Amino acid sequence: MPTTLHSVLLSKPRSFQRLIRISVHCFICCLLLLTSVDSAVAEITVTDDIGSRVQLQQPTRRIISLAPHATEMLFSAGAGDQLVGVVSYSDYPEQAKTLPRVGGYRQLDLEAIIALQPDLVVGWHSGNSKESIERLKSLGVAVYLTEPKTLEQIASNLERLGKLTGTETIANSAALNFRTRLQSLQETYQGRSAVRVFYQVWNQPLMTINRNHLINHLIELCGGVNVFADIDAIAPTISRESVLAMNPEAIVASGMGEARPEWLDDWRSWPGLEAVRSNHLFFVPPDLLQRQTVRVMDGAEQLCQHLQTVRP
Amino acid sequence: MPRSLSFLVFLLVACVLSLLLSLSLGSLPIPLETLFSLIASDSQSLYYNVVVDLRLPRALSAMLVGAELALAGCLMQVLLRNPLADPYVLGVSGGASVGALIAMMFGFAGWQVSGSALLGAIINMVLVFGLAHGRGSWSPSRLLLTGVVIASGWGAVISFLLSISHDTGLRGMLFWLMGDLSNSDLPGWDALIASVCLLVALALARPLNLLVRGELQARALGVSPYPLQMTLYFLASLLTAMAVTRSGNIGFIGLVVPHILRQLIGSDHRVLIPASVLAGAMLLMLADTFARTALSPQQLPVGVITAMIGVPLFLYVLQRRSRSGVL
Amino acid sequence: MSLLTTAQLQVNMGERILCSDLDLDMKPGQVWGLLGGNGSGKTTLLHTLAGLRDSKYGSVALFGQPMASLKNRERAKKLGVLLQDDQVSFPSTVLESVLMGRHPHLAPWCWESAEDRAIAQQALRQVELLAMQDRQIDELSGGERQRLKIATLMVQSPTVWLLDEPTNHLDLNHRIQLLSLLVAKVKEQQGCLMMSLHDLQLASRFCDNLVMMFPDGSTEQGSQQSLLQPERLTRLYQYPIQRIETEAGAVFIPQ
Repeated sequence: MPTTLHSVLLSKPRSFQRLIRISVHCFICCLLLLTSVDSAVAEITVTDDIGSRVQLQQPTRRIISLAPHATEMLFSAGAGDQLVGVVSYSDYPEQAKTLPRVGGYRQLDLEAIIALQPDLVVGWHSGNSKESIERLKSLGVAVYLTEPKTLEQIASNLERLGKLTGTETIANSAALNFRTRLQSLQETYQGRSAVRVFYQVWNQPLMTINRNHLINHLIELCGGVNVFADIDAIAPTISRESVLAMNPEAIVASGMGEARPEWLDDWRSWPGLEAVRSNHLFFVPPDLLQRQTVRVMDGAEQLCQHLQTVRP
Repeated sequence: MPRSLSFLVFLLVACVLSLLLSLSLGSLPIPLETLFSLIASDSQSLYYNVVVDLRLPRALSAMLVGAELALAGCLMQVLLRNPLADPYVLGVSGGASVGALIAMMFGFAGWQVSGSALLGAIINMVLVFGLAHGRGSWSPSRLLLTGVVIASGWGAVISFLLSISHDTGLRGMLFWLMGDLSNSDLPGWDALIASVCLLVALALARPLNLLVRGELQARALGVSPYPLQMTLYFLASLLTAMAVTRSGNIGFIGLVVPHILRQLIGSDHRVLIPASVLAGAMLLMLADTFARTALSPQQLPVGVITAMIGVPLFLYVLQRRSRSGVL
Repeated sequence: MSLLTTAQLQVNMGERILCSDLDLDMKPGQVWGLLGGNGSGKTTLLHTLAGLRDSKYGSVALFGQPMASLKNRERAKKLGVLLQDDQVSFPSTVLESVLMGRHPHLAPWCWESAEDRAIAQQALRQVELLAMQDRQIDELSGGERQRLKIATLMVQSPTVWLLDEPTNHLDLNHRIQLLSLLVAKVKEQQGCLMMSLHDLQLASRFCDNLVMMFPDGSTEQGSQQSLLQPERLTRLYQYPIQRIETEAGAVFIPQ
């Protein structure tokens, strides 16, 4: 706590009010600390996705999530009722919609975050601004950064978050469930013939993903091959012509509505494409593929079933 | 004028060759001899699809937009009597961008975005005209000031829209702002209007030569500057609006092409206008071809390429001229 | 017949009245001088006479027709004006520039013919710029540019010539030479000319008639002999001026 007070006094407070608020917060924290000094022997320590150690004296009570996928993960890990603030577009599960907002993940309202007095902030390494995260850390808030790049990391994130929030039982069983489903998909589709897949992230401009993207892992899990895996950029803008040149066996897209799959219909004007000729144009809801949460397993199952229809 | 005529013929030939080059280059390698036999071939083949349905509309769009921007830039420079003027200086692109971004925010795509962009451009035209015109006085500096201020107003609105928009939509918005020809259709009505604009501009070419010497001098030699300036304003704005509607904000063509040509062939607008149109069409088509093939299959924003070609070319011409003692 | 006339003409600049009730009558073969101090309104009056500026009161008529009823193009065929300022924003060659004088004589869409070019080159020769015809105009000196403007006016070949300080930037040799050339041309073609001058010697040498614009807004006109007198000149320039007769003509010396 001394570091917190120190940094508050050193950093130029934007408003006097805020300083007061933070001071009160610190004071309460000090009180809490004093009362729990005896039980604080068992420290909780985990390593987050970027390798930083996150240390807590006791399991969390007030958590703020700085990314939609983090919100969802916390709910999966059984810590949903500890959430006191979330960023915009945290729309799953249903309860998340009613939680107080602390700005968008790119433009965080630091004041609102501090005012909510969190004991843990779960951030998004590549989504949140580094300056905001640094500022939160300097104000003495514990920050856990997520960056799930693989399916395994989603499971391990659940376990680590469960440890921090004191809900290991629920979190570990959710992680186990995730791993079981993952393994079952792996076993089912591993030896099957490869399906050449084009995954369309966006329509205008036409964008796809490369080998480092989580969706690429899902495609591989289903025994598919991402035709643009070798491009350097993680989410490259590509030409329509290059899709024609690659001539994929299946086109999967998420961005548009399920009822009106305009993006997929656009491809129908290219009857020369193998995927179009055999009508292998698939829709998978974007939330099931593009959000790094346990729901990607639902997306993966849908994707695998779609790709299975491509095989002879 | 044999020298300027041969220059125009040279540009025309270069334009046609660039079109052939643009049609033959892409992610899918198509040999040149196949390209010529395609016209007679079956419309279901992949080659035919790629060349006729993808590359041709894109190349022709690039030519149209390049021509529109270069012509608009040329006219805008005369109107404002300022060699630094470009088609966007009076805020037409800002208005169009705001229109397009708002449409995108509401989840629209395709022609709705274009329509909204055109509406934004027209609102800007009326706004700048009304405010600069004010109580009857109309001077290049007043017009320029009004336009620049309104353009920066649009800039603020654009920043606002970008900062409140959802992440997924942002990609499309930024790409639109940088200029994008990848989804262009074959030019239609806008090519027709642009041709009419070109004809009008050619008819006005000689009076324009006088107008650049100042309104008083133009009047002294028998030109009525006021109707001429109005026509210029509307031609340039309309051309810019159509270009922005088709392709988003592609920079540098409108500034650099007329300027380089003025350095090379002088300021006789009877030659400069057709030369600008041809050179603008060619430069943007080449830039777009480069944008889609350089890192293929990745696409680069064409505006980046026009700047990358335009800036050194411009500086080179400027250097060469200043070494010979002019400017 | 009168070429350029004014009736009850008043010229203002904003609220300020520069001259009023001016009745001018310029007849074929006449050369007029316009004298006045700085800010007396010589340029504004010339612009009004040239139809480049509307007058609040009174009228200007060219060949008997009201100036306001004439189209710009029609006017430009008969009346030419040499402006003081000249704007060069874009590159252009000397020949291109001088050919602009042909504009009122060419139909729309027409290019200059060989004949037009011959006229232009003839004018360039007369102002001694023919050797520079392919030069860029921004390479010219001030005096050369002034000669280029005079050549452009000669190419326009109007009947009524209005010159705003034609001797600006010119050296002594070119002042005499070019004014003699212009005056000879006007006399020969039975046109008329009015020029604003600051040089009384030139005024007495080349002008038949004078208009004087006094600081109080009044004007006087008459033959140069009658107007170029010490007391009037002193009133005009607010500075004592002496007139000395010599064999070569009158000389004016400020005290």
